[in-house]
Amino acid sequence: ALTSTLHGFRGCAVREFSFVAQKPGCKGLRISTEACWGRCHTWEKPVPDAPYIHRHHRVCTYSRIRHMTARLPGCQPNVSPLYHYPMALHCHCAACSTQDTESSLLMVQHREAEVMLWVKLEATSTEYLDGKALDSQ
Amino acid sequence: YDGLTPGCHLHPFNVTIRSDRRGTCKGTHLVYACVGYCESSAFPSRYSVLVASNFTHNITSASRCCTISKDAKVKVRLDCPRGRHHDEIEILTAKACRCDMCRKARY
Repeated sequence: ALTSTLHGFRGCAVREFSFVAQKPGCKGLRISTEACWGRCHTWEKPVPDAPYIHRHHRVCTYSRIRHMTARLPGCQPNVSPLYHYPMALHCHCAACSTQDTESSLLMVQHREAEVMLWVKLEATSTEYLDGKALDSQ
Repeated sequence: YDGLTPGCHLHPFNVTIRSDRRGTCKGTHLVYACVGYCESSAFPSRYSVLVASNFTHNITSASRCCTISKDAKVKVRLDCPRGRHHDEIEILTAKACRCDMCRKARY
C-alpha cells in the first residue's frame, strides 16, 4: 500500500536519502540524511504569439536547508576530514535555479526495496491541477 | 485528461484568437497542451560536482518535466462582422507528450 501511495504521489516531500561522502585523501563514509523527492505540476501550452509555447516547469527541490558537517575517517594528515552537505528541512516545487544547483538528466531510479527503506513522506505540499486555472492563464 | 494519474498527458483547451484588441474578428479552436506530474528529486552533490562548481553547487537536481514531444500546426479561421472572413491564423497544438528535460520558463 505504501509503494502504491508513492506510485501515485503528487507534490514534493522530504525523503530519506543515503549516500557515500567521498573526497580524495580520505576514506568514504555512508551518510543518511534528508533530501527531496516528488512529482511537480508542469506543463507546456501552445499560445498564438511568440515564443508560441508557454512553459511552466517546476522541480522538487530544497526550500529550507540545514548545513551539516561530517568527519570522514582515514584522512591523510594534510587533508581536512570535514565534509559539508545540505540536509533538507522542507522541500517545494520551484523553478530550477543554477545558482546552487547542478542539474542532471539522469533520473534516480527508485527500486522497490529502496522505496520501502526510504519512505518518510512529510509536509506534502501537493498541488492539484485545475483545468480551468490552466485555461485562464 | 486523467488528473489522477501521474505522468504527462494531452489536455484539451480552447484558444481564442482576435484580430485586434477590440476583437473585431475572432476565432476559437480546440487545441492540446501537455500537462502532468513528472518525477524529480534533489540531493547533495558529489564531491566532483562541488569541486567543478567551486563549492557553489551543493545540490544536484535530477528532474523531468511535462513537455510537448510532438506538435502540429492547425489553422484557425477568424470570423468578422457582417459575414466577412479574416485570414486564417496558424497555431500549434500538442500531438504527444513526454516527461523530459526541464527548462527555464520562457515567461
